[in-house]
Amino acid sequence: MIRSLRIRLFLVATAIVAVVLAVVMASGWSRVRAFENARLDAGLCSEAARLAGGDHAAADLQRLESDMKGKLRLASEQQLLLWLASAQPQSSFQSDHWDPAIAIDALPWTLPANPNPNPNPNPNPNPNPNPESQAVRNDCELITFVSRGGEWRAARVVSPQARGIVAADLRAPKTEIQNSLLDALLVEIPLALVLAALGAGVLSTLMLRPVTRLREAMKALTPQELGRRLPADAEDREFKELIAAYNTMLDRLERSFLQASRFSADAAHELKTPLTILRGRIEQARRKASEPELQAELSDLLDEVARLSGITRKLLILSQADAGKLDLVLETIDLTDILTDMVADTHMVAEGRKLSAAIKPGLTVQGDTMLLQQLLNNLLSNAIRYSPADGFVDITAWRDANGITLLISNACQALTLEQRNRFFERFYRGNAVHNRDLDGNGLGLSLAREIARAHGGDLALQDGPDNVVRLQLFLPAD
Amino acid sequence: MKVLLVEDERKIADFVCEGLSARGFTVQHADNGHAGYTAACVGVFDAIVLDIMLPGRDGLSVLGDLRRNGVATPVILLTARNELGDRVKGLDLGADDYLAKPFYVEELVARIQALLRRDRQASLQVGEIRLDRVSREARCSGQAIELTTREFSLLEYLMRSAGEVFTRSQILEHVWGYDFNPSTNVVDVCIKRLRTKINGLEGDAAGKSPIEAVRGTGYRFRLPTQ
Repeated sequence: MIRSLRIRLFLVATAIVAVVLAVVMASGWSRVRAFENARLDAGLCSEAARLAGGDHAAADLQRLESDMKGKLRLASEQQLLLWLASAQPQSSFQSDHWDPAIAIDALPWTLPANPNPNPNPNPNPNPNPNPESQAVRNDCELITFVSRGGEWRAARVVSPQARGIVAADLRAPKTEIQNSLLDALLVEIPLALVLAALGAGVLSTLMLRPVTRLREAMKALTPQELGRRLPADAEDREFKELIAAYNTMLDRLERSFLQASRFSADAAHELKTPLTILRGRIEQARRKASEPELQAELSDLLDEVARLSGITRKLLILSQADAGKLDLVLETIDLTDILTDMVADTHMVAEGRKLSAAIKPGLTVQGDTMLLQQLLNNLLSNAIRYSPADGFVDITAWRDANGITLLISNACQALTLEQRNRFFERFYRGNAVHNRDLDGNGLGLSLAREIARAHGGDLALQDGPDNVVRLQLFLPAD
Repeated sequence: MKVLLVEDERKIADFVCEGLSARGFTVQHADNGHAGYTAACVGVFDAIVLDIMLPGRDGLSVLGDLRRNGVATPVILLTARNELGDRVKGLDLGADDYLAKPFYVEELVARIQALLRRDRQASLQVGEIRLDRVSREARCSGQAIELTTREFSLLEYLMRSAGEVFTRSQILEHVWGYDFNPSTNVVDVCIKRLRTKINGLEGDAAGKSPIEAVRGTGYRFRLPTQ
């Protein structure tokens, strides 16, 4: 199911309009029906009274039948039934198509449910009252019964001379009011629905326009621009509240981000003084020590301090990069020279590894020497550190129109997808247990990528076989 | 030779003073920026070691005012916070060198010595070996030794503080920059090659190589008398 507020808004609005339309139409239809039924009842009663009111000859009755057909607005005599039981049996009469199976007199006749609420205080003596009047005579009994597969409505009036019953087929064609109403429903309901759907579409688009605007504004925010806030002035009140909530969240985020970033910068800085003292004191002690064992011991300590200093320094650079405050000292650097030296170094420690390098000459770039050297150091150290002793390391570097690309591939233990996904995570080391003896601290690659990005480039792990790490460094042209 | 040390952290000042004195420098210490500035204007020094983070007045402002007032004494900055930015600001203001904390006193001594002989000494000679710092050529008893960039840097580093012992990580940090440590092995391999190249010319046994392994510690360049 598509979860879309827009579609939901559209569907709900359309459905509401449809339901309202249906209710209005149904109530209108039932009012028309009630009005028509009341008129039919009144007509039937008045005709029944007429029938019961006097002696009728057979020819008379024929005329009466066709007259009634007209008055009751029936299409044919087939839709009309007359039944007369007179005191003089020769005057009794039944329509030709009367179903003799029906014991009409035995039916449960009822008096009108709503007898004329405002009975004329001066009853009209006219035995032929206005047929349009909806008032049902008080002495008229009514019933609905089934005959010949259809519903019939019948009225019975009992006079001293006779009992007259007039029945009309309810399947008779609808009156003009009903017909025009039906026509209107058939044409106007779809039209109204289409209009409602259009309206709902416009409404949902209008409602979502500020949301779209907000989304674009939110997308434009980057970690380095956490200080930016969304402007709320031009928005509606409801969205102002949303923006205020979002901005408050950004405040909190920025605070904790700055805090974390400042914390690691401060921590790294605070560590430098004790590290300097530690290093100086150990160096001093080593110079004074006479026994070789003590000297060796102190040298080990110095190495540990060096490692600690390295981590501290990396953390400091990372925290500066996180805060977007990595100051680059740009100068023209010949990467070919640096890489050539480093490849020579790598050869020295390659041992059994197959090392191949193809570095194009003249790869100059504007960059920070210290940081780029750190970056390349990290990449090459990493390649050697994680490749098995009989593996390969392949280094290629070239320039194209966009900039300089360095591709370093090395064999490695098969990496899981998780290890690939977390490749640049800080302090993360794939196969941590296995690699415990390797001298890395899991900051190198993260740092390398930050340095690449600070130079406008990027460092990415490329897809490939499980047991090959292929890192691509890109640095933009000057 | 007289050095002015401007450093507020007492413990750092102590061992730096001690280390410099042990190598024959006379050290005067100032523990804040104002005192440091006054001392630098009044006294005569061969070099000034100036911490950037100082109470009262920071090292960069002291350096700026010294240079504006025509004090041209070589200055080595000690940087800690935001070392990338400070190092450039410092060099722009007229510092001669900089050293990031934490530093080795050995390194500081070597830098001061390098500053003091900068104009005079383009070559470095210890025993039979002579390095030309400009052309980056090495000669042993007059015969040229073919060295790679790293080998030259390594040899120069050991020779400029001949007699001092350096740990592998100390050598790595200086010669290879901060983090080339797939294993500290690279130092051993490079030393071995260097020894082979030098010994090949001398025809000596490895035991007599001027580069001496100090067991459990690291390496040092043997002084001719040792």
